[in-house]
Amino acid sequence: MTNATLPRMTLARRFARQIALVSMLLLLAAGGTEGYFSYQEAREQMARAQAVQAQAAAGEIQQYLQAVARSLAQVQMLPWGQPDFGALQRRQELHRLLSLNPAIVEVQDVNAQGHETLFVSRRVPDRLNSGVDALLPAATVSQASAATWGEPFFDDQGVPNVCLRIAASHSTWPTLASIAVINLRFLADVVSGLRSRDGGEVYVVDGSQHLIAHPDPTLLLKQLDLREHAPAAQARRAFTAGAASLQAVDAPGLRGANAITSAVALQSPAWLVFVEQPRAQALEPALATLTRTVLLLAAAGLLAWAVSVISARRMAAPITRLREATAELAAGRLGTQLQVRTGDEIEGLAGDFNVMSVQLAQSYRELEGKVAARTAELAERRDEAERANAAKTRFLASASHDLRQPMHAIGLLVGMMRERLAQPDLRDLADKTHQAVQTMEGLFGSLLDISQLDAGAVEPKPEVFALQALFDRVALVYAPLAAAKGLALRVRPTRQQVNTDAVVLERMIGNLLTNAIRYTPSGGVLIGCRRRAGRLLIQVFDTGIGIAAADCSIIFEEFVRLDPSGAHDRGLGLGLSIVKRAAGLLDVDIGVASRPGRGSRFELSLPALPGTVASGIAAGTAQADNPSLAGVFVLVVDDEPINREVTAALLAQWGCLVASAASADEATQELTRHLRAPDAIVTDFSLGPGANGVELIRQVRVQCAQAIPALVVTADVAVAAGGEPGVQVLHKPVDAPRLRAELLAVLSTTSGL
Amino acid sequence: MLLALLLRQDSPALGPATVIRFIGAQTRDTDPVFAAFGNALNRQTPPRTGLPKLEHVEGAATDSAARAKAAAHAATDGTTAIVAPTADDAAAVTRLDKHPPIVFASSLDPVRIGIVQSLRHPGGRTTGVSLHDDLTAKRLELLSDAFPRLRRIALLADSWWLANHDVALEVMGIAQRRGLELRVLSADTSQELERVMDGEGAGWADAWIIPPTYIAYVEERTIIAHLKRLRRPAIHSSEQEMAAGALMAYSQDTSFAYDALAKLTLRVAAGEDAGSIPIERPMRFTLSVRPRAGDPTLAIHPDVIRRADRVY
Repeated sequence: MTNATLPRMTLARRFARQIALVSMLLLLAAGGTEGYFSYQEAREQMARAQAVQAQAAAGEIQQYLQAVARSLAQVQMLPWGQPDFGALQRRQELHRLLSLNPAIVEVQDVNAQGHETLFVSRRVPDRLNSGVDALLPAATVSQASAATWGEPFFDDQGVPNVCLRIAASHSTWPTLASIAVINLRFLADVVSGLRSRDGGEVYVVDGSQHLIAHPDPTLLLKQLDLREHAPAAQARRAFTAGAASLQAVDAPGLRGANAITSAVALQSPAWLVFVEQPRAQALEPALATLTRTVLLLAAAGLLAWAVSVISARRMAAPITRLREATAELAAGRLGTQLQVRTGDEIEGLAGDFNVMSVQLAQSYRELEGKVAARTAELAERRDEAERANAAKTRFLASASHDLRQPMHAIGLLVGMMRERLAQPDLRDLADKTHQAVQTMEGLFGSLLDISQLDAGAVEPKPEVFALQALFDRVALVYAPLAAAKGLALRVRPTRQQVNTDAVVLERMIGNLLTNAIRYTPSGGVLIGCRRRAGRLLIQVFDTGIGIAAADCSIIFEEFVRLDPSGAHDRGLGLGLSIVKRAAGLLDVDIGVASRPGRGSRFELSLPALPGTVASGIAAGTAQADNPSLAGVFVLVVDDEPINREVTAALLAQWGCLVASAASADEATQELTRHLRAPDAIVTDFSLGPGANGVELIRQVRVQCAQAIPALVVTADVAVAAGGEPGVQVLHKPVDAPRLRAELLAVLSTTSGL
Repeated sequence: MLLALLLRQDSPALGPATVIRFIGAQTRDTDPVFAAFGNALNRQTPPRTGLPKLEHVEGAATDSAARAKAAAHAATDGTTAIVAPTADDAAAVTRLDKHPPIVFASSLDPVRIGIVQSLRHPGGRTTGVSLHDDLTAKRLELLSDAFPRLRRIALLADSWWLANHDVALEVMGIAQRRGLELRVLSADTSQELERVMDGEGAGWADAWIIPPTYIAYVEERTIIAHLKRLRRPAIHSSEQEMAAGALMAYSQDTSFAYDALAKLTLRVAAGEDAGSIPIERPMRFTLSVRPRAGDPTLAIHPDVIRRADRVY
């Protein structure tokens, strides 16, 4: 694995995460369990402590109430009715009792009839023998118990009070019992003193579930009925069922806030003493324990994480080194050695890696040797092939040039001879000779073209040019051939222009026209072009015999001819093959559509160029007329004497005035001996030392100050006009009719120059 | 820890912009009641709790128009609670169309003067402490016990006290039962007091009852001086009068009032409904005597001295 594809999570990090995860889970499990049980234990301790507080508070309250009762009982024990213990003394003693016990606000002495005999008070005037009813019901008063507690009640100001009855101890005194009214707000002083240090409060509830003592006087004055208060209700039910205490009830307290409450019952009166603590304070020790557990857990977690990281790095280190060594191997540093001393399987793996690395380096060296030898061998073969290809190219060039020269001369000679022979039998013989020469020229030209294309000897030279000029030229060339078969060759006018090799494209269109004319017995041939989907389609229509659909795929193969009957002028079967190869060279698509007996359409698809050329191109039919060349002054230049003489003789036979020269210098010299500029120039391209044919044309034009139309007839297929206007390049061999047609063509298209 | 924080949110807390406005009878710097209340507020504010902002609104002791104006000023926007140290101040605030919660202290019966519905359920966003004194009959009894030969008793009060007490109902019954003749003498100002103490009624009375009135509060030393001049025993209603030289007093213990008032104010400011907080009342009574007055005619009966809670 290379550095570019490193994993997002390293092995050490993965190990660390896994170890840390396991450690944390274990810690969480242990911490959670410990925390839970610690919390439960702390809560139970709190409950026990609160129960103890409640018990202590109940004891304090019980003692307070007993002290009050005892003080009244002690008054009762005085020898009332004896000397100096009369009514006045008793009133004084009761007032002293009130002074000593502020909670006792009133004392009422009642007789056996339940009527008041004496009443002393801190608030209202005292009464003597008023006869009013006892403060406690008579049935209760008649009981002879030592101390009896009445039901607490709330006075007109909402203050809770309770009556305590103490029976008289001396029968000589008319008082049966004394009833003390005790203000229970003083009990609040007792319970306030019992307020626990952590915010707890002590309160007392009577048998009818009313709050009768509480540190907060306003809460007490509300005369709260606690029958629906959860701790009070639970306590009452528990004590009714015989329970000794109620521990740690978690429920809303008297003020509505969450609280923990415990309760204990007094022996007499039957009141309940509650200790209430806000839950936050009550559970603070438990929560502190929980907090400590969480902190320890966090610390242990951090430690576990650190240990896991260190352990994971140690575990992953040899694997990491192995990976780095592998990466070096992958980077080409064969023979890399790895040092691992872990004493386990990884050390064994590292040893295997070292062996593998050494063997891989050795194998690589051997392979490199084989590859070098094979490469040298292939290079030798490639050089041989290149040399052979170069020889082939040279051969083709030589064949193309050297063979075209005599073929060109033969063609011109036969043509000239045909025109000179007057006897019909000799003329027929000349015609047959001419046909044989034409066939040979065609076969020779096609074979050379295919060979050049296959050898890559033809290098396309793209240029932008108007299609109409090319159409006109091919129409002019092929019109005689069509006319000879009684066919009409029509050109659809166009303003389109293309960017491609004009010579190769002309050759392709010429081959398509030749093919169309050959297989069209009647009707005509049409050439035109149109734009479609960003492409320019050059189309050749004919009304010929057509092609079966099954044959459309083979017609571009070499030597395929689809007219086995031989009814038509059969070609060599190479024209469409040349078209196909040339199309590949120019990156042109070929399409064909045909219906047997109705005709065919061949089309070449090229990239369309924006814009068009100026109008003015005449539409029409290429006429197979035979205009005269009589009087046309033609300069013929060729360094090959036979070709020069034959061409001059043929032009003279056509009525032309001819001036001939072997070189450019000789030509310019020759023209100085004439009084007029030539109407046309027919020259070879290669003129030996000095200027070539195209340069000659430029010199003559400069010399004559005219754009003289010219034909360059060359055996070199690589020669092109080079953008020179009014110059047409013909590749040898060129027979007499074609020479005449091309000459007429340049004379007509450049007449305006 | 989070659980602990949640649990601690059980207790109410003061808001950040708590403003307490106190209606005083004097200027802020000279108002002893305001100072005492401020000290109590400091004592009762829980630790780690910000002190509420306490503002003094100067009212008037007797001018009802000034009192109404002070009440309106105290009840302006932004006031969390109003502290009214007198029943008249509280009544002035309750007469406003809209007012903040009120915490009051009243020496009159708050139910009778209509600032609360009942002591248990005050209602009307009002609570406080009631220092209403209904010990006049008990004072008459004590005075009679202390000086058994008395026959004519004068009761000195101002018209404000008399308007809020039914003297006939409270005192006449016990006076008749004990064969005493009771005459009510009224004085609202120093001049009237001088006229009363120098008048024919002063000479008529064997002894005096001085209930807790405004005139007794502001003219206690004058009254005590006149009584000494007249050589007549009297029973007063506060320990302050005893400290000023009074012969005897029977008083309610009102020392709880400031702390109670401060506690109630903090609760109301924290959002508790004032109308649901019962009215607190004094629950301790103190009999104070001065047995060595230096005048044989003012010798208190030993039985009463023995009953005394405090001897000067």
